[in-house]
Amino acid sequence: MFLKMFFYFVLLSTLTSTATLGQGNREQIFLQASPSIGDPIPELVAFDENGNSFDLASLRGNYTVLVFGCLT
Amino acid sequence: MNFYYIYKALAHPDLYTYTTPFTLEERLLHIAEAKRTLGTRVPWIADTMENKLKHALGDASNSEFVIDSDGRVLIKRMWSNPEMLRSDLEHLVGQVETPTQIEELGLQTAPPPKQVTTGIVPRLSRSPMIPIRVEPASSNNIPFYVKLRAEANHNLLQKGKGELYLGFYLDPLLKVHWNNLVAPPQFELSTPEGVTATPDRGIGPKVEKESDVDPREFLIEINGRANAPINATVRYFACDDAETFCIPATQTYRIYLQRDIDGGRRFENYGKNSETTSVKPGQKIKQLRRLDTTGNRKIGSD
Repeated sequence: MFLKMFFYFVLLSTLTSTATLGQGNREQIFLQASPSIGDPIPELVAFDENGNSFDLASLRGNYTVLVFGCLT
Repeated sequence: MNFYYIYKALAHPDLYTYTTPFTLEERLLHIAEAKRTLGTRVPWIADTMENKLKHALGDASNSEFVIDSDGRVLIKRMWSNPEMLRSDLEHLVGQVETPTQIEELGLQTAPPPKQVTTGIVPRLSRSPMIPIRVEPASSNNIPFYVKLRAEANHNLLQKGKGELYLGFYLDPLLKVHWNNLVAPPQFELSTPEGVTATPDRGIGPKVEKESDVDPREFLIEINGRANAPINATVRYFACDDAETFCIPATQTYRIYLQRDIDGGRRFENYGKNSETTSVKPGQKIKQLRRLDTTGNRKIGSD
């Protein structure tokens, strides 16, 4: 159920995004600027929906899918 | 298996009138709005206001990552891809016997906020510009109802002489509108030594309609460079949409003549006042064929 909702949002995000802006260059930048496969994700603290601290280290222990998105 | 969205800086500010949040509280309002409009129950992580997650994870608008139980990256994509993600997850944890259909989720999606009155004040026509860094400075203990978006042209950033765009946008999530029964919004600029702005002040158009939410936009000629920011002060009268208050407001922002890599890109071709037009893939091919004047599938300089 959760998985399906996730796919639904991802589809919406993809449709509303602009995939036309120098795709090749952006892909290269993304590949270089993001952690390599096998590398740990950065140790960073952000926030949950209520504004409480959210440590990315707390994701350990399970497989996790992270998808970036925004309103527009 | 955990699923999270990470809420990041807007990729396309101004679309559906949404504006870049200035505070974490405003970013959390954006998340609430995203949940409302998408009808999703997947939890969100709010990026820091310095956009640390975005920067650390590749600076892409709609990227996706699959992380293993040790916190290591197994899969990454610049653009999220639902079919590939499903395939990846099936490979990792096995197929689902009876996949849930989207219709079974009963997602209650909702449209963006309906604005009081829009399309009253014509949008400024201009060439595409580069978003530059803006910081909120002071607001007399009221929310920044007005978000300043600043952009510069290449000449200004590269040579220190060129055009500066100022767009004063009402934040739709704070539910206020311009009160046009009183003096229009006005701004003034205070420049550091060695920098001039022409004009250094301006006033929005007089609007007949008693209220609206259209941005007030200005183009300024800037000459000179400095590390110190330009200070912009805007004065306006705002009323909340529920008509519980109408107040005079004075807000100040710091404008840095530096590219804002998190500033996103405004869609210039939506709404009534299109400034550029997007080209569909089919049109692009037609354009290329027109350039192939000899029909040999090659485009020459003639």
